[in-house]
Amino acid sequence: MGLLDITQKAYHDGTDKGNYQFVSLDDIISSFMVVYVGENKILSKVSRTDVQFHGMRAIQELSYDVLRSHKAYEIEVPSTLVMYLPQDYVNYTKIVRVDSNGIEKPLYPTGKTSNPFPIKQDADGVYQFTDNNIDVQGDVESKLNPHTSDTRDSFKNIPTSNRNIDSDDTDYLRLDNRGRRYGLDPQHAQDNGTFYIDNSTGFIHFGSDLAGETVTLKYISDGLGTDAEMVVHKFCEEAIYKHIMYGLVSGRSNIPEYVVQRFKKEKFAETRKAKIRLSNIKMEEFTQVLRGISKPIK
Amino acid sequence: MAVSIDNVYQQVLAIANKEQRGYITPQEFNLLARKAQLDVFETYFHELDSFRKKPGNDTVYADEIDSIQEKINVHEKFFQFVTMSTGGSGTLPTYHKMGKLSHHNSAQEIQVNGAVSSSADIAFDSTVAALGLAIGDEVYLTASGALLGSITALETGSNANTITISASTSITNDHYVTVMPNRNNSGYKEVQLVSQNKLNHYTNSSKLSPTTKYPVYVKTSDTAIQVYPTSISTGVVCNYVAKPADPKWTYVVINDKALYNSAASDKQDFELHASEESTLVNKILELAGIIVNKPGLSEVILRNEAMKEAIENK
Repeated sequence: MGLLDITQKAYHDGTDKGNYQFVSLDDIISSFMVVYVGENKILSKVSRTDVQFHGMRAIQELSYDVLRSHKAYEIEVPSTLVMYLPQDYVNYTKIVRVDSNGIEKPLYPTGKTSNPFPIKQDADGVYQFTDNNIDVQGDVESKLNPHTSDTRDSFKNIPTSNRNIDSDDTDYLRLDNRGRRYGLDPQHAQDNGTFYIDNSTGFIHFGSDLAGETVTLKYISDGLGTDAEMVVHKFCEEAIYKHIMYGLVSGRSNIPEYVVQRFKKEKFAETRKAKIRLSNIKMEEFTQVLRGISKPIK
Repeated sequence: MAVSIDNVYQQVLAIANKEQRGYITPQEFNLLARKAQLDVFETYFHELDSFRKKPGNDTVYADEIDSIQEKINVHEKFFQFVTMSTGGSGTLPTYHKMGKLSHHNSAQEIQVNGAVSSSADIAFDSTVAALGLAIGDEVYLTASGALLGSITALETGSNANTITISASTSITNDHYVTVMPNRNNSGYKEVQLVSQNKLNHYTNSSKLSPTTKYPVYVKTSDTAIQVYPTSISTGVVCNYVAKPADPKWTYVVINDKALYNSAASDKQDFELHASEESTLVNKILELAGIIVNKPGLSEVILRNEAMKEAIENK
C-alpha cells in the first residue's frame, strides 16, 4: 500500500531526487478514471481524452498562478543586447542581473521603447517589396538577432543608464526623454538596468549598460512542454481533480446546475488551499521577518 | 463452470416425454441448443445496462450487476494479442464485443535466430540484456498472435542471446516473436477508440494529438484498426467478449439408439455460467414446442419461466 516503490539505497544511488513531492498527470488521469467515473457516480461514462484535456488545462491554469515557478535561464548579455525567449516561455516572473557576489538585482521593464518592424523605403518613401513581401530595412535578421529598427538602434546606443544623474542636471541627456523632470520617478529610480520584450520576434532587449553582464530570466511555462514536466506538487493534487471534475460536469448536458455549482465552489476552494500551501509560509521564517517591524529606521 | 450439454439434453428429453410431447432428436437438440445459448448470452448486455440504472446493493451474491457481470466474465478474454504492422494498422482477433485496447511502448518485435523445435529456448541476434528483456515478459508469435509463454530465464555467458519460456514451442528460423512486458507492468496505456469523423480534430489538436502515451485508434473494418500515432507498430493488446462456441451433443448409434459420446473430439458443452442450466432447459423446450408443433409444450414452459422470473423479482 505504501507509495514508495524503490528502496532507500536505490534512491540514494539514483539521480531521481526529490520527486516524491510530485504526482504525474498520468497518475492523476488513471486515478480519476477509476475513482470518479463509473456506475452510481456523478459521471457514469467519460472519455479518457476528455479527462486528459481538462487535466492539461488544469495544469496550465495552476502553472500560471498557483504552482511554484522554478524555471530560469542564465546568460551573458551579448553585444546585440538581446536574449531569445525560452522554447516553453509563457511569461516572465523576474529578470535579474547577477553581480560579482552572486546577488541578484532585479531589472525593470521599460515601456517607453520597442522594436517595431522597420520598413525599407526608397527616397520617395515608397515601400520596397520582394516577392510580394515588404522588405526590412537595415541589417539582415539572424536566428540570434532580430531586425533592427531605428528605435532599437537608438535605445541600444544610449551610453549608460541614469545612475549618475542628479536631480538638478539640465543636460538634455539627463532630462527625462519624455518631458521635463520635476523629481525622482520611482519606476526609474534604480540602476540595475532595463529591458523590454518584443513578443512578436521572441526576443528580450536589454539596455546598453547590461552588455557583458550575467542576466537570469526567471519565467513560467504552462507545465505541458514535455511529458516529464506534466507533474504537479502533491499540495495541488486535489485541486487538479476538482478542476477536471468541474470541467467535465460543466460541459455536459443533463447535469443539474447545483452539481455544477458545487464543483465550481470546490474547485475554487481547493485552488485557494493549494496556493496557500505552496506559498510556503513557515512560522519561524515569518516570525523572523516580522521582527523587523519594530525597527524605527529602515 | 460450463453447463454439461448431456445434463441439459437429458432434462429436455425427460420433461418433453413427461408432457407426452414427443422426442427431440440430437440434431434438433443441437440446433435448438445453439439458438438458446445465443439468446441467453445476448440478454446479458441489455440486462447489465438496465441493472445499472437501478440502485444496487453491496452484497456481492445478490447484487444484480455483480451477478450479471459474473456471467459475462465467463466470456471475457484479457490481454489478447493484436497483430500489428507498420504504419499503425492492426488486425483484431475474432470477437463478439470489443473492450479496451492497451499499448506498451517497450514491447518489441524480435527476429528469432535459429529454428526452435519443440524447445523452450529461443535465441535472438542480440543479447537479452541489450534487448532489455525481463523475466515474466510474455512471448507471442507475431504472425499468428499465439501466446508461446512467459520468459522464465534469461541466459548468460555464451548463451546471453537466449531466453527460456514457460512452454515448449516450435518457431521457424528468422520468424518474428513479439515480447510484451509483463501484464502487471505499469507502462500499459489505453488506446482509445475514436470516431473516424472526429479523427482530424484529434490529430490537429495540440493537446489531444495522439502520442505513444495517449494513443487512439479508429476501426477501418470489422476487425481492422488504424492506431495513431502511426509509429506504433507493435505492442497492442485487447480485451473482448468472445462469442460462446456452438454446443454439440455428440453421440454414437447403438441398437438404433443415440448414446452420448463424451469422448468425441467435437463435443461441446454450453459455454455459459453454471447458473444458466435451468434457463437453457426452458429455452430449448420452448423452442422444441414450436418444432414438434406442440404449442402446449411452449405454453407450459413459458408459464414456468414467468413464475421463475416473478419469484426472482418479488
